[in-house]
Amino acid sequence: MSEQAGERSQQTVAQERLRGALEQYPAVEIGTLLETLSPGATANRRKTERIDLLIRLLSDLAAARLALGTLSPFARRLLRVAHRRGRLSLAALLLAGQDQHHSEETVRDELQDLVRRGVVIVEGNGTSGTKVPLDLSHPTAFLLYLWVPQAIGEALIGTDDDLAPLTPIAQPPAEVVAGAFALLRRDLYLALRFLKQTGLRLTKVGEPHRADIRKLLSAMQGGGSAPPARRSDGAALVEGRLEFLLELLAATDMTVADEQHLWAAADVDRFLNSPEPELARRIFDAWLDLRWSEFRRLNDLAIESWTYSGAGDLPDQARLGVARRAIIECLTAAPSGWIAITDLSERLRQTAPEFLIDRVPIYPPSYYNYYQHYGHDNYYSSRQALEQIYYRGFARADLRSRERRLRKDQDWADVEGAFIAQVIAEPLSWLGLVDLGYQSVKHRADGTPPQAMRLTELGQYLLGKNLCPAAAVTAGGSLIVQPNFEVLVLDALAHLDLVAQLDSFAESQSLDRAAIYHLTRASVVRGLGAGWDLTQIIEVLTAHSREPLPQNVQQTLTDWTREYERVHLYRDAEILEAPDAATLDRWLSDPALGLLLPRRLTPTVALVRRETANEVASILARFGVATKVTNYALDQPQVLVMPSPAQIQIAPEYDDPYLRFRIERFADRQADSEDEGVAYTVSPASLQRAKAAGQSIDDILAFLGYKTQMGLAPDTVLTLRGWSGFFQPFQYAHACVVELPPTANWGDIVRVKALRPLILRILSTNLALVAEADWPKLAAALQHRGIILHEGLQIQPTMDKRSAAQQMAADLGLPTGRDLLAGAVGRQLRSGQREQLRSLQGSQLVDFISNALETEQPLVIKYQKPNERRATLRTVEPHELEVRGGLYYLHGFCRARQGERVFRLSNILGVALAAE
Amino acid sequence: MTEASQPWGARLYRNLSLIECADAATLSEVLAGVAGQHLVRRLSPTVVVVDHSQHEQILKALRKAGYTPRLTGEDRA
Repeated sequence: MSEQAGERSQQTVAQERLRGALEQYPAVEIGTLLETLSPGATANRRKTERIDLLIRLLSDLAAARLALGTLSPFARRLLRVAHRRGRLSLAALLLAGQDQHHSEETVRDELQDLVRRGVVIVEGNGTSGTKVPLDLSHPTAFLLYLWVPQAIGEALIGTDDDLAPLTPIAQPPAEVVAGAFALLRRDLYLALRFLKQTGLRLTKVGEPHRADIRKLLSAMQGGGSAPPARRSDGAALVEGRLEFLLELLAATDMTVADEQHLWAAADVDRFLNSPEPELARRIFDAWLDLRWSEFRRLNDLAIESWTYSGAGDLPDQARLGVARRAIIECLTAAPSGWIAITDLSERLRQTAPEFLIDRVPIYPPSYYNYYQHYGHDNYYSSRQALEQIYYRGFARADLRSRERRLRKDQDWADVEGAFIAQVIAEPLSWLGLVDLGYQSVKHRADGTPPQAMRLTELGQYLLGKNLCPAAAVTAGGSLIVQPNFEVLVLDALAHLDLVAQLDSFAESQSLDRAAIYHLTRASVVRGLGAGWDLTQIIEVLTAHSREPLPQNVQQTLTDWTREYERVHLYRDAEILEAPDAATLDRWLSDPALGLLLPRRLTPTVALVRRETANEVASILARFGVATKVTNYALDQPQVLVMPSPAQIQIAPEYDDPYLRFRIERFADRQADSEDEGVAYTVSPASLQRAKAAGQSIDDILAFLGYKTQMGLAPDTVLTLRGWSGFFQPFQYAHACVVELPPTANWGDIVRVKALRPLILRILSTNLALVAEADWPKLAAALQHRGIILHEGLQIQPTMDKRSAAQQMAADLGLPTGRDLLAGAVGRQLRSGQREQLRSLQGSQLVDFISNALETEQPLVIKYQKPNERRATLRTVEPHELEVRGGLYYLHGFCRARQGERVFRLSNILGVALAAE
Repeated sequence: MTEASQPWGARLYRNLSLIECADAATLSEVLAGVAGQHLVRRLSPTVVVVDHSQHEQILKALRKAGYTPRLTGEDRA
């Protein structure tokens, strides 16, 4: 019942489609068609009645069968092509119909006749309000769509046409390249091995990094030979194939990508070791929808940007999938033996002309409205319509100007034909589905497309033409281990599981039909590091070997393993230390704690299972044991006290062996008590010892600066540098200081040639040094020139010098900025606080200022901006510490500037608490 | 089970580098090289703690000296 209802509904839809199309026919054409199908039926009927009658006639299956009987086999072929895709443009049908017996005109006339008989319905391009012209000879008629009514389509089933089956070529090709799935399997294995071991770096857009592609190519070629030069044709082929392999691996979920790398998936070995037919089926299915374009690999076509309406004719991924399936369908229908690729191309043209590219582009209706506005006979509209016969988005690569354009009605062989040849020559051959036939070795070497193809046994199986190919059976063992440590795997591609195992502990030399490995100490150590043990390695080698394992190989493997076990280096280890052996005994015997302590290293120390330290601590806490945790990944600051440059003290709570180790490299231990901690002495000798061991004073100062609780005082830094021999000797000599009055300057004196050598160094405009021995000569010379000399200096502090403006302000009783600064600093100087300015950096400075903020104590800071020549002293009442852009800023009231200011901590050269 | 009566409780050290040798002679041999300069603490005649900040240098020196040390805790062997 429901089937009948469905059939009726389908019929209604078909009739509605017919009605929609016929209503677009001109009234005259409706009358003519009706008169053709039923002479005299037009009498006394209006257009709608005529359409109703036509729909009844065209929906009648019996009438359709009668009509088909009167048609030629060629006409039936055209109808079959049109019916295949439901609707086809006239352009596509004209292309499909042409052969050696039928020109374009013949096909057009045949189709015109079919339209007149009503077995083909004409449809416009969706523009409303315009009637469909039924004249197929009009220059723009190739844009019209033709389709076959449902009844005609049903009647076509079982009828014959004039399309002869494909026939194999008489003469087998001279040069044959056999399709080898084994080769693909080997390359997939090598690529996955590389991805498993090294990974492939990805660029920001997710493409493989070029340098890594070259490394992968090199790894796939056995590492011995370099990949082809970058710009050669060979490189394009090899890289294209590699890109194909990587896409295949991605499509079969054999690779995983994170943000920066492409890696092999976890279960690749299972994938590679699956039986050949199963693996081939999975890969073949993946290729059908592969995100890879054979079209872009056509050397004779240049892809051009297409900026006009629509997406251009470049096939997208979905269309490539359709095209691949159409080619496979054509190959499935082809007989066995060598088939000319041109014959395959012609067959697809005749049966599925739009398998890859539509003849008539799909434009929005507004596009057609535009050109129909002028009428079909208008110059511009005709020209615009004729533009549609060119392929859009690509052109011939070897020509320039308009000549490079390709026509959809003439250049099938250069576009679709070339695409078919490309699909056969590359992916189908790479997948091992087809053998390729070339006219000669030279043709093959030149890169000429193959002349013919033949399905391989695997190809016939995958296309459903043959049963599963028989698996090759290797007699006896597949492994030979030679006394020179060379390991040979026979028929390696059939034993990829064994090859993968050998990869873990042997060096791969080559992989083809046979694989060659070499057992080296490094490779065996690598295998042991990856979790293999000697027994497992020997078991793999003996289980697959034809002969017993050579004695010397077995002995050497044992020696290498013993050597490997001699020294064990732990990184990021975690250990638990008990106060005594009995306590550790109890802890190890505890069911919960014992599980987390896999090994006892010493009577009181046990190894803790990785990343279970917190769990261990919590279990011990449940036992009532206070656990002191020391994490060496965190370098704890401010754990030392330095009362003087020569003394270092570790408080008992911070005492730890590693801290002691670091201090003892440059200091000598003095005292060690549980109550007062450990004390060390730093001396010139201890610092010299550190220097001899390669530790610089800067390293020591950086360590102490970070580790001491109050940072290093300038005096400590100076002393330690001095003790370490950091400074070169200071030079001194007795000299006289000569001060000039404001009315003179040293320029007046040094211009006198005789006096110039007597002056040792000019310090400022009014101060200079004169060597003690030269002073009597200079004094005499000056007195000779009438200059009076007084003993003693009258050097005025710079702070007291005032400009005219400052003097005026002072006269008016107003404070200047300098006064305020001088006042603030003066107080600091008076109270001796300047001596306490400390050069703190980083977290120490932050901590110091944070303390001042908490206690609301003003600070004295020595502050210098990068663009200022001198540092200034400021007294600041701190208000807030801000972190912005990774930098700290102190907000506070600056007493010198009498306002709110912001100070960057990295510009603070010294800091101290201000005395109130 | 309570350990409150012990003079001090447990000490748990995290992220340190250890060298463990098959015998004391091998350890002496190893410590005669670069590893000896970075010896932090001797736990037993065959186990020592070395400076974790020098782990790479120690490993490199061991390999240079002809050892093929077994590695634990490496991200990638």
